[in-house]
Parts: sequence; structure tokens; C-alpha cells
Amino acid sequence: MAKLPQEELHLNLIEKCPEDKIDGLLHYSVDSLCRSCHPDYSKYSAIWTLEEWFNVLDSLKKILIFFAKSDLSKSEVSDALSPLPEQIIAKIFDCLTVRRSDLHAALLQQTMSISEAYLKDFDWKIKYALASDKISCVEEPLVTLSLTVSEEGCKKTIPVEMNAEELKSLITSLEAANKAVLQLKS
Amino acid sequence: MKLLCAQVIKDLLGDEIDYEKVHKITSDAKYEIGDVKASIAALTFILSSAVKHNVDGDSLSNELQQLGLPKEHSTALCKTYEGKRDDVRQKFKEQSFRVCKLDGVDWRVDYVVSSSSLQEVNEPNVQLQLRIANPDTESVQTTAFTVSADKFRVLLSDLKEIQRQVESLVE
Repeated sequence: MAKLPQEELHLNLIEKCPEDKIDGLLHYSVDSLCRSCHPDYSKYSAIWTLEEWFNVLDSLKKILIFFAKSDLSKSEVSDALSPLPEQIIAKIFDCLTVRRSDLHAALLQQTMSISEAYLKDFDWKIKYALASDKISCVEEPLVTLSLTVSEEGCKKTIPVEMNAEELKSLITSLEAANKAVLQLKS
Repeated sequence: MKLLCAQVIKDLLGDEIDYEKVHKITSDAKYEIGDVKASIAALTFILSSAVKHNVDGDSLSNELQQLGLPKEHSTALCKTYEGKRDDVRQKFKEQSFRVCKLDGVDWRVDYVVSSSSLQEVNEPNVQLQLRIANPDTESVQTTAFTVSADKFRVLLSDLKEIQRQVESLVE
């Protein structure tokens, strides 16, 4: 297993954090990992300078990812972070336990985006085509599926328009894929 | 008349008009080039409008006679029209404007074992490749992307819901 590079982690800075504030900070860090939002510096400005603050955040994220990645036990966590006071290690471990599924989901997402475009979101609408320049009454339902695909951080929207037959063939293909997925899961 | 109609319908169906034949047909009637052009344009207009509004042969014949076309001409035109009406209608339906079309789907299911961001992943992933055709330019664009197992489930169930609604619309 890879070792946690302690010298890069600014443990001495993390140590400065008062005990009542570390909990919130840890959860903020997890939030920022999951949803790329940023914790508010103003609440912590009394403890760290801005530069220190960034270092602390970076270190906390590294620590959290490191442990979430390989799912370590409590003793392994405390060994790896030994210079830190016991209470802080306990808090880190608590946060890891509570937010385990969140971190896992965030890392799964990261895994999925490795070197491939991935489906971020999709929307759809059903339309009923009434008439066109060629036929005065078309009367055919159409489905627009809008796929938002994220590739290396940029989002791209792919619109697909389908009639009932095309929709059916799409569903048949996806059903076959779903069968394979379900087989893997069982 | 009948043969000329057949040629125009061929054009509507997407084939080329056989101008040699048109020339042969019309030379008997001593048409000049301008007359040929005009009659083809008129027939194209009459036939495509009739198909557009889904007019039946009898009504078309009556209307044409009221406009002054001799009876035998109208009947000949309408006979050809009746014979090909459904084909042309189908063709027009296909040609009706579409933003894009789904041409085909390829998929692959992967089982991700481990990665640099997570030691134990053990999750299936679906790779989808969609071939999306643009009917205007007749080009086909392929897009490939990964879908996580969770999202894939949501996508599939949504599509089924869409299908249900579409079917209720068709009825």
C-alpha cells in the first residue's frame, strides 16, 4: 500500500484547529470533494492565514481521499497520522465513517471520468408532430432525448430525436445491456 | 397523360425523371420545351398537394374537372395517383423535417475492478455508442460515452416510461 506522505500534509497547521471547529471543517472538505463547492474561509480566518488555509484544505482533502480510497481501519488511520493529537485523528475517523458512502460515490465518479466522456445528466420531452410542409397531418409522437455528456470537464449536449420505432430499438439494446449489468451484480 | 403522371410520381418518390421518355410521350402531342416544363411543374404541384392533404382519387378528379381539365385526363391522372398514393405518402412522411434520427446503438458492459482514485471499485459501467443521423446532410455522427450503473438504471426506466406515454398517444 502507498504511504501517506506526511511531510507534504502540513499536519502542524491542522493541529492548530480548535477541537470544536474541526468537525465542521472536515465535513466541508468532504462536501467540496463531492460537489466541488468551497468551504467558507471567514469562519476560520482567526486560526489560519489565507495561504495556510489553502494548505490545510489541500491536506485534509488528501487525507480524506487517501483513507476513503482504500478503506482503512481505525488503527491504520491513527498510525498514518501519528503526529496529530488523538482527538483530531478520532474526528477524522468519525467523519470518514459517517461520510463513507458520499466519498465512495465521489471517487466512483472520478473513476468513471478517467479518460472517457461520461453521461452527466439527461432530459427528455415527448412531442406530438401535427403537420409538416410535406404532409398536412403527420400525427406522430416524437421523443427528444437530450444527453449531457461531460468530457474532460466540458459539458456537451447531444440531442436525439426518435420516433416510436427508434425508441423501441433503443430500449431493446439497453435492455440487453441491463441484463449483462444485472448478471454482474448478482 | 398517364405515362407523364407516372414519371412525375417517380420524381416525388425520389427517383430521377426519365426525360427521354417524357420527350417521346410529349412529342406526339407536339409539346414545346416550355410546355413540357410547365406540365411537369403543374403535375408535381397537383400530386404533391393532393398527397399532402390526403385527398382521395374521386375528389381529386372532380375538382380537376371543375377547374376545366377534360374528363379522360382527370381520370387518367387520378388512376395513377390512387395507385401510388400510399407510397408517396410514406415517402413524404419520411422526408418530413426531423432534427436528427437515431440510427443505431452499440453497447458494452465493463466491470471496473480498481482505479487510481479508488482501490476497490467493483462496479459495472456501460459504454454506449449512439449513431445519430442527420437527415438533411445524410451524415452520421457517432458519440460514445460511459454511463454508471446507477444512471443507466434511471435512464432505462425513464425510457420505458416515455415508451408507455408514446404508446398511449398513438392509440
